[in-house]
Amino acid sequence: MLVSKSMLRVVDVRKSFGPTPALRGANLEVAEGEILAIMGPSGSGKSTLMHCMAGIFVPDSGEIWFGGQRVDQLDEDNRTELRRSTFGFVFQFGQLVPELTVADNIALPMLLNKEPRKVAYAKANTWLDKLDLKGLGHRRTGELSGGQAQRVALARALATKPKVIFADEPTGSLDSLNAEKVMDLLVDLAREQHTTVILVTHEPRIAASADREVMICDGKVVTAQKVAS
Amino acid sequence: MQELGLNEVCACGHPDIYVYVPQTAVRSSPSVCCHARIEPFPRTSLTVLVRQCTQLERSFLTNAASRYRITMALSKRRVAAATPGRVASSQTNVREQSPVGWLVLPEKLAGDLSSVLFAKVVATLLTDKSPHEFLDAQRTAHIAAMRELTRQRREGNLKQLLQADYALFHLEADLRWIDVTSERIETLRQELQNACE
Amino acid sequence: MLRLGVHLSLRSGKEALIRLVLTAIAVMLGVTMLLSALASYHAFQATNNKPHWWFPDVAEQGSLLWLYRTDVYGNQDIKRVDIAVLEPNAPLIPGLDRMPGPGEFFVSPALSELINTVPAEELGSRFPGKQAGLINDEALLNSHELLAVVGRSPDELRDVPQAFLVDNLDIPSSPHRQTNFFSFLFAIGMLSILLPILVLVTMATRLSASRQEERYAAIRLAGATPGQVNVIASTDAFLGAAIGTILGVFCFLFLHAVVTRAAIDYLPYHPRYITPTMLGYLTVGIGVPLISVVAALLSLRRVRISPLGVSRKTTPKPPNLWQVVPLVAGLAIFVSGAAVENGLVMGAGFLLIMFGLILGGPWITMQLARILGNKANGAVVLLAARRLASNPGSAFKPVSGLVLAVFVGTVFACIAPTLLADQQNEKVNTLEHVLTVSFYDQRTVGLSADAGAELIEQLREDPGVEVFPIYATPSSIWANSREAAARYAEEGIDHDPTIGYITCEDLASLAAIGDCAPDVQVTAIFTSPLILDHNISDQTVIPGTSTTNVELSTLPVQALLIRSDGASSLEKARTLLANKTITTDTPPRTFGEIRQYEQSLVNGIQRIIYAAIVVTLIIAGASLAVAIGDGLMERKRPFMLLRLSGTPVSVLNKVVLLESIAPLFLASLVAAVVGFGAAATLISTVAPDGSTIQPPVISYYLVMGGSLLTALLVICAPLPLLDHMTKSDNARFE
Repeated sequence: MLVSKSMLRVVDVRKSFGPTPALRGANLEVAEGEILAIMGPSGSGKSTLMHCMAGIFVPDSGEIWFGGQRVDQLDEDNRTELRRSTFGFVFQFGQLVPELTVADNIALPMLLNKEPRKVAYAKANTWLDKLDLKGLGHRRTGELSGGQAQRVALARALATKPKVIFADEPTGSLDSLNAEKVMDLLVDLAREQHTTVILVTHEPRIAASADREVMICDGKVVTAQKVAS
Repeated sequence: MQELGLNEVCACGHPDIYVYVPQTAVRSSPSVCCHARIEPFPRTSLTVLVRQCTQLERSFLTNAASRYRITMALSKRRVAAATPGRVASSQTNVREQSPVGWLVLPEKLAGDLSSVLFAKVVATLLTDKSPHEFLDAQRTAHIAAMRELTRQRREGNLKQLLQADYALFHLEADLRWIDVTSERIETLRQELQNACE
Repeated sequence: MLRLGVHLSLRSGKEALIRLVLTAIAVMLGVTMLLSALASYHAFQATNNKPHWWFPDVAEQGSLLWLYRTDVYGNQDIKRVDIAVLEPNAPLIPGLDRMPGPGEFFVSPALSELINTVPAEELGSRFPGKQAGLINDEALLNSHELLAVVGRSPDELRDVPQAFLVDNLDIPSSPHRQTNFFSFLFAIGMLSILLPILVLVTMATRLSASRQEERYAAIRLAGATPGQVNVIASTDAFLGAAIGTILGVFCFLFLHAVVTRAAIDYLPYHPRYITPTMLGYLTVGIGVPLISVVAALLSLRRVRISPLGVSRKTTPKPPNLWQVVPLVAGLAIFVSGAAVENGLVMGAGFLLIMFGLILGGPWITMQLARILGNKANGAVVLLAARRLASNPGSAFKPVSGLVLAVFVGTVFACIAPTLLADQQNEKVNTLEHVLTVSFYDQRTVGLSADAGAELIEQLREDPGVEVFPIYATPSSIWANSREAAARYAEEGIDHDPTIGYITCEDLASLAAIGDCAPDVQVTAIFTSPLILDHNISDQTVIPGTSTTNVELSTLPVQALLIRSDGASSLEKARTLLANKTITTDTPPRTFGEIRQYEQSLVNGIQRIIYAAIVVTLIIAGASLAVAIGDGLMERKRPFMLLRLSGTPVSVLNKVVLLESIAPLFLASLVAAVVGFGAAATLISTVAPDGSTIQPPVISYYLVMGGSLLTALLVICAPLPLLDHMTKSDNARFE
């Protein structure tokens, strides 16, 4: 098994919220550049697993490796830094700041990484074309339709050229056509940049866009086939 | 009904076994498998898909309960053992020939699968195994198929796109059924147990 | 339905509880300040409305002989009434059960304590006889007033020209122009504090109501009628407001007890008048919850009309350019009024500026925020600027009252030093310890030569006292024509009251007044400006008066300038004066005390204005904190997800802080700048030529800085809430 830099490994991770155990010993490996779908019924712990992998939660026990580094052993500030600089996130809804414009939202992570304004906005504008958002740069995100907003969210996640993108039900609140559009864009652009994508979904058609999928059931990863080459 | 020779296996590769399917499912898909016959099973809302077997032919049709017991016995000890001369069937290459093995393997994707899927689920229950393994495997197979279709969809022309979309939606429907059914396993198990008491 | 409403309010989970608490706190603050304002106003009015019995009307025939003078001890005035009872049914001073007889005197408690602590020759000896009792509160304006009622025999007073007959002491206070003016100012001040409080209260209740919009919409969809939703919403708002009001009343009572106990010596009013009265309590107790309910119901308009009306939140209309017109117009009118020196026009312009600042604030905020957002170099500034640009109205509303207070306060703080500067010329400083006392009044030109000489000798017995007499000049000298001389003779004026002789030796000692011509022994000076107005100018000494052949010892003593080397000698001198002379027109004060007195008036007004600034700044801070809470709840999800995506919580904290601090500081700055400009204009037109605008006094900076800091602290209060609400542990996505 090759250990590549952006490989994510989850080893026997357990996490409980109060008396409810969400993860009971999950194991997973993700290769660089892979698009992985994590499927499971609601309450199975798939979002929790994603959050642990992304360094949002610290698991109660177990190990989380990212490129040779133990993510779960980092302190809060370092994990935040990791997420900001190396990861990108797409959520189902509500992640755009409504009073910011589209260009602002896309440029935001770059500004947070202390890039100069001109550079950040120049980059942001290139993403407008790629995601079929031409001409919308100055619109407030609060006024966009669902599909447009998710594309903006996608642009924001991709703009910092992250190594891994975590997408939690990115098309959950979209109609089929928009969902398709967003997924196609996600897959194409991720492959273009060789970005690893961790996709959490309960919809098979969305998971079908991925290279492989794993199931989570009752806090355990049920199907973890080896990496397809 | 065509009768099988002693060392013959049905063209669709199914060994001899009795399974139950819901009346309605059977009605909508008359020929789940070759050489089958449908009968209602007494004291339950279920019907029996009867697959004739030379050895097990006559007495079963008369006594429902004994039929059931024999089915159980069969599945527990493997058909090969119960029917001398069929040892060779374990080496038949279509799939693993033991009922248990058959039970856990996913179905090929062809047409309407609901009865077969259901049949397998019930059979698994009857053998006191968990059908989840089968369902998971089926699910994986479905998704693999969907993955392939998605790839075709993106690379193909509009006609291929439309066809692939159609297939994808249907596969998704299957998967939904699988999900729902896996929620209902316990109920199903209860009902079966009640029937066999 | 009411029970359902209460149940919903109390059991809807943590967020609802937080809302309730926030509303209650905001309302509590508002109610406390409201009650304090009402109490102060009532005290002011009640004290003003007391009968001013010490200025009774002169009666043709009366049963009481009355002589009122104002004496001075240190920097306090002593009201002194010498009375002689002529008939047994003479009127009584309110608050006394009997009038003092000859050889007795009554004093106020404060004066009694002073007399007991201070050597007799400095104070006690001024009151002949024995202290027969204390004067109770009814006769006093406040608890530290110094008042003495001295009993005399009729013979003693009959010969005193300044004493008069009185038959009625029940004098209602005449509406003095000054007190009316103060009343008016007070009312304006109260209003300008009231408005921000009302804003705070309505903001707090709207905070609850608008958050509940979705909940009410759901209830409506479930089948509730608009009326039922009204009841539920009102209950929710009412609960928070009611709790806040009750807490506010307790808070006020506590404050009242503490302040009246601690500061009783400094209160200008009696503690018992410092109460909002039953009317005030009722108004606040009923009015505040009522306003909250109305505000909540108003903000539910959308839901009442259609339960689906809350689904899409549209951005509010941005302020338009026309809103700035009043401000610009006001500035123009004010400046043009200054150019033509028309006070009325300037006043109108001033009011228009105040109105314009409030109306135009949001537009100015929006423009500045837009510019800032387009130039922002960091995420924090970008987020804050965009938020301010998209909601300028709600960003400006909490600080609108503050803007007014800072504007008015700055204007006054800039004017005050100029007002006081006149007093502070060098010459007066050297005369700080010089007491002036005049013996001139309508009937006499001064003490007779003998009486004067005797007094001067007695004064000089104290080695710490220097006496510089000013003698009356015969008017014949100044008649520059026979007509004038004839007129003087006809009117029986022997001496010119406005001019007096002083020896050049004495003048040399009092260098500030002026210089004699060389080789002159005695010179004449203008006494009125010096003695009465405490004004020294280059023209005080009248040149060219060769008066070598004047025999001063034969002339009446018109006035005295007394320099003392310490408080003790000063008071001893004043005691002597009190016992030997009647000085009705001018209380015997030093130049220094006069200046202090005038200063204290300015300082008093300044203090009130500072109080208004502090109050409005704190209210602004509280309103901003409430607005922060509101904004947090509205943006909970984006912030939480931003945090998940790697934004440190410190960035979010900074954003939220900046969104509040920016309007606060900006509004204060703009108001201060406009105020400074207005003050400069005022001074250049109204003040005497040559006075330039001075920077505001130190206290202004202290008050502004301290209040801004406190407001800042208040703004920081909801920050832990931000951390809690956006914590990833609370992000359950399943």
